[in-house]
Amino acid sequence: MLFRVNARPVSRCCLAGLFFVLVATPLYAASGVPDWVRTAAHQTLPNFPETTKAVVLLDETTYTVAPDGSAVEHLRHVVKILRPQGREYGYPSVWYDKDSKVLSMHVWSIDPAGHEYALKDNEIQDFSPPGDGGQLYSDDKAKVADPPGRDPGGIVAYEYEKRERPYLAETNWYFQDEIPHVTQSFVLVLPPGYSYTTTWAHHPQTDGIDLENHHYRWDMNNEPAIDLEHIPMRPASGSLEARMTVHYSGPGLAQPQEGTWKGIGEWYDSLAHDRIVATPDISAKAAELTQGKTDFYDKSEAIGDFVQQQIRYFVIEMGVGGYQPHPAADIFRGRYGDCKDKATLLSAMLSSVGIHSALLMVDTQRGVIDPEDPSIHGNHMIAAIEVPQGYESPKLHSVVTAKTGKRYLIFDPTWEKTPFGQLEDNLQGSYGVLLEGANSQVIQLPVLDPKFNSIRRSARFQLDADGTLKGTVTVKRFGDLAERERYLFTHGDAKEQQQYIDRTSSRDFAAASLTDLKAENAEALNKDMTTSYAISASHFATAAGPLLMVRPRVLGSLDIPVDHKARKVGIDLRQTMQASDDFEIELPAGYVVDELPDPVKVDLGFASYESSTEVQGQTLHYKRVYTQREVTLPADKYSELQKLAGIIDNDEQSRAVLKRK
Amino acid sequence: MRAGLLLAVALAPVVAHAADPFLKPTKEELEMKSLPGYPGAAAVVLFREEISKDDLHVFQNYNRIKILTEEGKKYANVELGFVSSSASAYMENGDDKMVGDIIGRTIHADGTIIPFTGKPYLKVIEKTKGYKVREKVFTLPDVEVGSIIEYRYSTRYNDYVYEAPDWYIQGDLYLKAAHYVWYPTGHEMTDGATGEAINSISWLPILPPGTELVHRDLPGTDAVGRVLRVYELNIKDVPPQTEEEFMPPIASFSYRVLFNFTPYRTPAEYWKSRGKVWSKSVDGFAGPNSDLRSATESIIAGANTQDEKLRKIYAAVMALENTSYTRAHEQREDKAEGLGKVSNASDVLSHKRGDSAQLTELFVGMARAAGMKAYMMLVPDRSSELFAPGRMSFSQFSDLIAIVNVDGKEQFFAPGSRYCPYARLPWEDTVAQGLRQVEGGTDFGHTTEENYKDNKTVRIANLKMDEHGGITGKINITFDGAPALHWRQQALQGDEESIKHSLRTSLEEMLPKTLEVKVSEIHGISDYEKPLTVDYEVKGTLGTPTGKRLVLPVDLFRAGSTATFTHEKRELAVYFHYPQMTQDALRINFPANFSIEGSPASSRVDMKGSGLYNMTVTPAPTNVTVRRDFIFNDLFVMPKNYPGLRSFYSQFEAKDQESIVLKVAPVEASTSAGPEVK
Repeated sequence: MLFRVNARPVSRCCLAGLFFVLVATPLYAASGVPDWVRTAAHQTLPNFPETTKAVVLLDETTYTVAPDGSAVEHLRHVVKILRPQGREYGYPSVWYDKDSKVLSMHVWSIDPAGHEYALKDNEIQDFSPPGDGGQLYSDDKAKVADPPGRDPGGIVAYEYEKRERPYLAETNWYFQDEIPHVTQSFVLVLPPGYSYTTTWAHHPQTDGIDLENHHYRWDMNNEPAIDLEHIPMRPASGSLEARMTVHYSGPGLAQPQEGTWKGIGEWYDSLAHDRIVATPDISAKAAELTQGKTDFYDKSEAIGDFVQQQIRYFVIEMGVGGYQPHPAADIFRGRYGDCKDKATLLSAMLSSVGIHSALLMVDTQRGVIDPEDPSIHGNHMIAAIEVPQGYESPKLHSVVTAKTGKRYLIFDPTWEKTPFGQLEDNLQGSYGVLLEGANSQVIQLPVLDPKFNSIRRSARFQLDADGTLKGTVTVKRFGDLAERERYLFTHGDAKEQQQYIDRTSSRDFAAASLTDLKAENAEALNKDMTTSYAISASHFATAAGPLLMVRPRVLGSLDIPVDHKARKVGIDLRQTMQASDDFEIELPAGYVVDELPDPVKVDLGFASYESSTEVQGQTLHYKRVYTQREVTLPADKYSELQKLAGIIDNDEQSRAVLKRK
Repeated sequence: MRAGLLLAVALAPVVAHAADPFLKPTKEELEMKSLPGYPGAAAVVLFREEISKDDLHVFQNYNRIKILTEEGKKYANVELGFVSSSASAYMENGDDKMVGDIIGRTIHADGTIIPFTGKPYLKVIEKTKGYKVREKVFTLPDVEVGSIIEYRYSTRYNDYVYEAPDWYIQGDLYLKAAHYVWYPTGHEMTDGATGEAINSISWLPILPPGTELVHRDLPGTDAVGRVLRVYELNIKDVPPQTEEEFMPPIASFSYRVLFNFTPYRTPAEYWKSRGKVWSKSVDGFAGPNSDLRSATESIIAGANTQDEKLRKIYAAVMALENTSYTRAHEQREDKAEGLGKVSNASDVLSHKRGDSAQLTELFVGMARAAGMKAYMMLVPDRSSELFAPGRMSFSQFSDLIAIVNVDGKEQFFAPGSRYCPYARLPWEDTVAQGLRQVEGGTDFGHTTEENYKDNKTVRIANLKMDEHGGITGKINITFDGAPALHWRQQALQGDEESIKHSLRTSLEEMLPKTLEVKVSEIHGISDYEKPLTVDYEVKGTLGTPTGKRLVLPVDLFRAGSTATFTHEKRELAVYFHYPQMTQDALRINFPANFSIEGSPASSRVDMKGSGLYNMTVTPAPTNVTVRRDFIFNDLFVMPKNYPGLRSFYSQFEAKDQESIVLKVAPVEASTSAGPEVK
């Protein structure tokens, strides 16, 4: 699956939760472990589940804002490793970039036997993530350390201070993650005359304590882990983990924040407005693409397709470039850019033909953006194209109405295989930030009708008495369910295509030969992606004494990957969809059907499943339709989902029983 | 005069590039839409040039790539990685390498040229006190399907460093033509590692038939006018590397020429000389010194035969912490525990921990202390690499194993592979060529082969079905040989909870999804001389009901399996990791309201000399018993024998998917379960 993510916004946001400010000289001896580490290490811990790998004993953040708008973070962090797998939590790190500076970093550890260690400065290394297969250049880097004693029972502690110049007058405090946090606090220090407000994601609003002298403190102790390891169909961790966003304002700040989506939008407008400009070249191309078209959808689609297909994805992010797009002219000239670049060029081109659009900040993980927590916490940029008043078209599927009454068609020019007018599945049902200056707001993205994301298999087979099945198969896909195949038949070579089809047959046939593979409409996103092939599968029908066993559901699976455990967290179904199969099997002469699988019909609201097997003359006819109408479910629906998975699995394994006449 | 000549040589490429740094595209190149014989190929390398000029301390590179599909556009994103090192004992002045002189352009199919005017970005990937890993990143502009992209760059390195080039010719794209040249230095040099005088250039050519590396001599330009030998290769029409499932570890055998500055004239001379150095080094560590002799004496106390002594030694070494499976400890950690520096095998014993190599050296040292002839051997990990004696590099080896003459017979041991049984090797080290110690030096050697009986998995299921098709029962799986070692070493990476999770999900993936699995007990996870046994409890439902029947899968353990060899065509040999045997025995006891209406006929599939499959189904009034044996004894199956292999697998995998049909009658009386299957 194609996955386009701008690493910078998400990493910057995530990192912000780790960074804290130093306000006083650190309290540690030159060669010894500080008392605050020892105190944290020697505390009595509550009982944790046996799956707990490590625990954060102490996490203290101080964030100090200077009158010039710069800020210093100071962090003290102590973690105890509980299991061998917990060693991964014993690598201290602090991220920075060209606009920030790590002023100091100190690392200590205590091994399980109680021996104490302090790392020297030259034992702290610089690290930068590699370039994602050549698609990414980012100036994000980290200082990391590998302290001794990282064993179960061991303690790793670090302290750092980092100076930064926030692009926006906000900072995030992430006080929950996949391991428990015992003691943690966040202290905000503001200059005189400044004020602040907080917003909270996945957590009730909690007031801070006024420590006087513009110091404010929040404590958040004994936060349980959000441990999603081994949970099938799990939601994104970021959609569950609690976080606090601090917004502040004061004299001299160019973009003071008061904790509103409007404030976020106005800040972003100041970054991007001058970049969304159609140069003569851009206007000429837009005119060329829309020549002869008068309809809003047709014009938008022509430009949308161009940006989606002709602007190559390549990310260059330095400093504020993690948020600010490149000028549309540069993107158009080089024919490459990242998500916000592509959305920017799309907006510029649309504007040149009289269509207004706005950028829409989203997160590729559903549920991470919380409508209650105005913030720049998102990792992806798409476009919201304003639909003219009174305009209606059956092609408009992904439409949202804003509080202003304006309607927007939501489109992601970065997602290369999602048809214009639709929205990729992982964004559906999520929230996004409509960046419309003073009218900026958070909007919920639509969940599309299942019929716009479909797979339809049809096949005609002949079954020989020796169990060999021969026939032809046609598979039509539309929407995101066609993504992999469209990619394969536009990007893969003939060998890869054949191997893929061969592999997909391996689950249903022990010995199959697939030939005459054909594909249509791989590039035409608004048409069915159609593949067809001939198949010959020996041993398909198997003898059991005097009986011949035939699986009417010949191929294709609707596997729902549930487990047998009780569920505590919500369920991510990934997408709405509809799948249908229609298979005919001409039975061998001399055999008669003795028994057929029972028909199935179940509708659980969020999904329905219906199948039937009939025999007409010497032909077995299997039909089924599966419809999935939701993208998420609450945890208490898990038993229903388990039941549905069992019903489908049972139907897929069912056999028709043939006997000799 | 001489200086002028040097200057001219130095500037020649610069002048040439300034005039016309790129080749003019031909009409055929511009119009090219696909690559004959490779339908759907993403791109093709039209031309590649690599020129290495030692005395200018520069590698010069040129790439021309024709983009044929959307996928091919990714080649316009270029990452040029390079590593710089600080001064060290190995390299007196360090090597501050840098990539530069980047120029490039895109040419559309209509001939339109779009020059690269952007700025390459310098990215620091990793920076420590010893080295820096960096890359230059750029992307070429306005790339379309049909475009030709081309770029040049240079890699410059320090004045005091000379680096022999490695020409990796075969990659993931078809190569139409390439030109490689190396102008080696004529300066006197010494090997950075050994201090030996460099007097030769060696090379390992892996080239298609008909392609030859040529060398020619140029007049010397130094004070004594030494002749300079230039190495050159012109090559055309190189296919991309083949990637297939179950392929042998041949990635290191793609077409290439690897050069070395070396004090040795032949590979045999290299291995003989360097082997001695290696042998002396490991012997120096292994000893035994007096402490180790003393410790060994107490460990082998009471043992009479060499085998008994060695078993005690092996057990003592295996009881130590193998830090290759946990975490390497730093010297300061040892110091904190009151332990000194690890200078020899005796120190490893006193520290009670060591890495895989150190534990092997300790084992050899103790075997010698016990009076046995013991040797060490370097082998590649054949999961990823095979040894090529023609390549003069110890980097081919990843594992150190031991050879001990026990009661007159040499046996192989892997004390560095935690939980490997006595006198066995992990499969990665079997059937491998390597470098071993012999009396007075080193020589090439081969490790042992294994038989399918050495790697055995036995799966037994005893299940009871109730009147409604509900299932309860127990499953017992015994692993021996390679499968047991796999699970034991996986357990070392985590704890009881994690190994139970892995063992549970492993069985769940085999069984029908309707069965819930619980690991009730693991026997002998650290008792490496015995098979590993896992007890499971299962419950759930089994089979698919029709109106009057219940259809059961014949082999539960194969319910989740998929076809292994789905592709009809094969280019490379099929490579299996180790010979193995799997035996299944299942009994399902059912109540009186069920009776067997039909079951699969017994089956035997034989792939002569390589594989054997046997399945029997034994119906009884209140139960059915299925026994399945699978043996495969080959490591390699050549492409010409692939149809036979595929047929063998297809036949038995189809058999595995057959069904047992139970007829359902009204419930009349309960039925006791039959005897357990063994």
